[in-house]
Amino acid sequence: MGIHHAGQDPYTQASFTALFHQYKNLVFRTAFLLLNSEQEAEDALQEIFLRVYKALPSFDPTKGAFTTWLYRITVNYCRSRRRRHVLPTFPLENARPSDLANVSECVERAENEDIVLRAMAQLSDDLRTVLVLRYYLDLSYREIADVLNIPEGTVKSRLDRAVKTLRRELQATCPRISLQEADR
Amino acid sequence: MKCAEARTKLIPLLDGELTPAEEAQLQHHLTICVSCRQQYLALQTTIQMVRSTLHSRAEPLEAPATAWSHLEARLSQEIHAAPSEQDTHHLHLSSFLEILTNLLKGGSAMRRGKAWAALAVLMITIGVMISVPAVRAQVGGLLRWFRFEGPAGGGEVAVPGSVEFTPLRPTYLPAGFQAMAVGLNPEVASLSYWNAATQQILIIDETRMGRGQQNALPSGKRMKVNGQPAVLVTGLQRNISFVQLPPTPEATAQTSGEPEEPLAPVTVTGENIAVFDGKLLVWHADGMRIEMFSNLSEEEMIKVAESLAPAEEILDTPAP
Repeated sequence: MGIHHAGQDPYTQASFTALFHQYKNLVFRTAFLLLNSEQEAEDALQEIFLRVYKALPSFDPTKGAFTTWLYRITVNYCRSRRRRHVLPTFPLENARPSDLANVSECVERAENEDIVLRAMAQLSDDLRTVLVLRYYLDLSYREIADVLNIPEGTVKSRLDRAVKTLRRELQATCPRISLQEADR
Repeated sequence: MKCAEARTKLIPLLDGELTPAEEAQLQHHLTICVSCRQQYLALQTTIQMVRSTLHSRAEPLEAPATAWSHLEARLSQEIHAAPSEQDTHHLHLSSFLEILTNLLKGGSAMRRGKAWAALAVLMITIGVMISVPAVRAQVGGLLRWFRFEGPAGGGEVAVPGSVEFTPLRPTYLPAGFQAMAVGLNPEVASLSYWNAATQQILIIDETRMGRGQQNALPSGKRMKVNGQPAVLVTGLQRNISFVQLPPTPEATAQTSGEPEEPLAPVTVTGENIAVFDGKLLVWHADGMRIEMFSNLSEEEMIKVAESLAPAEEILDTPAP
């Protein structure tokens, strides 16, 4: 149903309904990747759009794109959520080498994705966040810097650490994956 | 270029973030340095795996079908809990025009594809109120326009041209009803009507049923709308407020040149209706989930529901 409450005009309702349906899946999926949990992502979707609704009147399009603003709210909420709650992780020690015996076959299979997700879950929030913003949302370094309100150089250094750490973790967990170790 | 420097630029190279000069320098280094080339390939594989994993795991997920109704309930609680903050929830038409103009002028940092998506949403929001031929001409081929006629006038709204979605509108309304607003996006149409004399309200939300989503009808009185199963939920309470729309202005949105005069904001008239006997009629039609909230009689609601027909599509885009 539409929201028509005292003190609220129908254009607010129409625009907010439209915005919600336009971006709900993007926010839901991003929250899922940041929180490692579908249930947590469902809760996050509610909280994030509640924040969007409250803050929408203060959104200033001259200061940046709407999507940048929306991603900022999403990232900030997920970060605070992770700080307040113990969220599910995928401990690397649970990925037994015997499960990963035939890596050449599993490179394109779900098991291999599990390995990547587990490795990502070991990263700090900051590093995991830049990976999601860069390789899921496909944001440029400049856009990531705007979302996180950090210098572009910091984005670059976080991505460098994140990708190189992942490469080491993946190689340690799944040695047959062809990832050369060359910078030690 | 030395290896230490090269290795700080491998990921930016893979991400397309180097200048042409930097890229050429690094590519040259990679042709002569086996060690750096090996690392480049390893990082490339890692990034491919990360990208593929993130997309493969996230893309099949859809926000729950109940997400909007849950959010609406939360918003209702929040608004009632903090009535003094109601004014902060206003988004005025002039703000939307500002955003719209900003997008059209390329003032946004969004990429083109995303800008059009957002533009569609924002234009849809104001489409019912104003005629913006300059804007329509500029985006004519990218959007589909629909005309909604109401007892007190009509308006034009749009969805992106790539979307195969035709909103439904009532061809029957009880006497005295006026159109309040029409909101559209690729997945949702929201139509609001009211009768000031009888204090009756009619709100119709049409939502496209997504793939794999749960679209079960709620519990309530089982009915039929045009032969399709429907459910009527009664005894609902809701506070409705009405707004005074400004007179329909002539085209004032400009895409270039001098700043346009801001349109009069939508203002709240102060006239509110507390609906104590609201009813919600829910059914599916043409791949849509339709929810109609009203304090009309059950018979009138069914009559309106059965009159829903595709809105008229405007096929000719006027010249600027």
